[in-house]
Amino acid sequence: MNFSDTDGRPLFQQVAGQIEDLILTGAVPEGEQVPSTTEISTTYKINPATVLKGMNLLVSKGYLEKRRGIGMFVTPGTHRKLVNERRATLLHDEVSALVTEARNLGISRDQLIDMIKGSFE
Amino acid sequence: MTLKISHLTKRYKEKQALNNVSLTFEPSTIYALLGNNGAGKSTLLNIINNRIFTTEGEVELDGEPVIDNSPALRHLYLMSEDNLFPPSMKVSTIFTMTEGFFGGFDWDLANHLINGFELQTSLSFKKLSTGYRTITKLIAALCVPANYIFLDEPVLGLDATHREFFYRELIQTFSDRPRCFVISTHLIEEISHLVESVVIIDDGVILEQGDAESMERSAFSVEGSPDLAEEFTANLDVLSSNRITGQMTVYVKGTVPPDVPAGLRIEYLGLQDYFVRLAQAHKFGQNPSLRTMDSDFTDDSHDSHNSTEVAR
Amino acid sequence: MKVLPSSTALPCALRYKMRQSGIGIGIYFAFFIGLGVLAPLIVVAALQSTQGQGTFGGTDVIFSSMIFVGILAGVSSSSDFKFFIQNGFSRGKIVWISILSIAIVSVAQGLIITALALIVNNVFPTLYSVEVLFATSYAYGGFGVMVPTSHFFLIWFLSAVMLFLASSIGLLIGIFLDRTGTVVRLIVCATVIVVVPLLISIFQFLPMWWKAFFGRLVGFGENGHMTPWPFAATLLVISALVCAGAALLNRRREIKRVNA
Repeated sequence: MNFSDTDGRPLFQQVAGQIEDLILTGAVPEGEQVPSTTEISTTYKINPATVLKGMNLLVSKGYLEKRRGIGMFVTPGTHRKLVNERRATLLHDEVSALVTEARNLGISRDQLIDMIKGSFE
Repeated sequence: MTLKISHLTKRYKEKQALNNVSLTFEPSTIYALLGNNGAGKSTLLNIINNRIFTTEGEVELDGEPVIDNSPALRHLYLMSEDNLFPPSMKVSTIFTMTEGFFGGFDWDLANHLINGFELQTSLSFKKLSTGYRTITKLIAALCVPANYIFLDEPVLGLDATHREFFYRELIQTFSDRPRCFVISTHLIEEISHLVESVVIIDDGVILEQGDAESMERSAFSVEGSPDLAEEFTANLDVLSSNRITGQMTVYVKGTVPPDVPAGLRIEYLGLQDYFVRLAQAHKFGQNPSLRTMDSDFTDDSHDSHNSTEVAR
Repeated sequence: MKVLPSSTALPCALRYKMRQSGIGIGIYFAFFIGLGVLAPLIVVAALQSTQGQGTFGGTDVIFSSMIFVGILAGVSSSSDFKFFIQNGFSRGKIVWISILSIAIVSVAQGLIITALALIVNNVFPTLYSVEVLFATSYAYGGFGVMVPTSHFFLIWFLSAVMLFLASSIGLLIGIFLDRTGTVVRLIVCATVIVVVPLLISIFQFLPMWWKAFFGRLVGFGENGHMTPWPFAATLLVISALVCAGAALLNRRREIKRVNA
């Protein structure tokens, strides 16, 4: 995990994002337990309240479920939801940023498409 | 259990160290107390912990006065740069005596820390190096059963490995036994994610207090061509700015306005940089023209900003 | 972690003080018994065996003890204050701990010197004597008697009272030195140096009945007779005043910052 001050997002959202990454990459499969608040806090020197806030964000989205006295577990079906959500952000934010930057640099539509095709190979 | 500090003023013959300081420290919260040298941090901590007297004002724990009141003082513990242990006392004796005075001591944690830091408890305090003196004081502070722990420069003389270990253990013990920690340090970057709440003090007054997350996002930098940057920030609350030929960085307090023109780069400041800019703005507040620093001046304050990198 | 009620703090502080004072008293008696009693005793014994009954040795134990307990109370004052403040004691409690511990030290030191004196004086009556100045004179009712051989409890009590006065003065000086800077110290020292001889010379010109009054306060009666109780009472009253002064000086005492 990696946290930054100058990231546009508040720290608790970054925490939530990093846990989502664990689920997306399959590091924590559905139905399994995610790292505990204390584990994340002590390892990355982040205030437990902040970590908890990030966790609760995922609970409210239905990605994680609390099991009393044990910890937080990935809700079944979360992986697919996350893939869909990330696809939407990729299209909206990152592709449009890429297109803007390409325009600034005078890269044409076809050139950009070729570049993307090239990087897939 | 709430610690309330109201209207503290400390006057010395030469200067006023604190000026009408009011604060509330909530239980089970980690605070950062930030301020430059001579800002009044230690004076404040020394008054709260009964080491010196205030000229005016009160310190209360759940409505009960703390100043020179043993039953209330039992809930407070200050670990400071000044050493108050008898220098010839053995480290192990310091811990057992502390247990006797406070009626308890977290020996499990103490032994874990003693091993982790490789502290030799059979040595007398005065035989220890600066780093190990800090470690001894830290262990006492983390293991007493008090509910308010004040750590004044807790990592003084500690190497990077020991600092890392300390921060981990601090969070671990905080999770195991939540209590209020107030940390005063110059190494702001290292604790910026660790604290929940921040108090900034300068020249004996509280400049700002609030939760760390919103403070990290309560100011931003605008970087770009001087004309563009100046125009964009003209009506904003500018803290300070750096300027080199062809480029300008303006530090602004507040939320980022919508519609940032292309060509300007916006970044949130982070706690350390925000503190530096705020203290600067306060210092030169009477004379805004001084707020524009040449790049050298702010060099040491931050290292992730492009403008400073370019200036080098 | 088990947290006990606050009642452990005071006994713990007293234990700390007793251990610290015990070490001091141990060192003092090691020196006193070695150099003040045993060594001269051997020398006198050797001299007697060659020269016969003429030689006899002796030493006083109360004045060196008073100076010792005074210094003990004074030098530990600063480090005790720091240590107790670090551990959440109020200034009031700190001064009580100090007074209680000098009282215990005075009683203990008084017991040891009385026992030592009586033992040496009864075992080696013709070789060596350990004197307890003033205490013996008062216990036996007049000047000139300095070698105690009996009256154990009375001499113990009187020496403890004298030691308590000395250590309370030591405590007062310790707090005074901790609270003041060089200038104030010099001014107060100079005042004491000037005022004390002045008082003594004034005393000499006082009318007879005044002198008699002061004499009676310290137990001087007719024909050089000395009574112990007024002497002890006067010393205790002075000690109480000195302790009150120490408590007053301690009330606004602060931790001096090393780097400020």
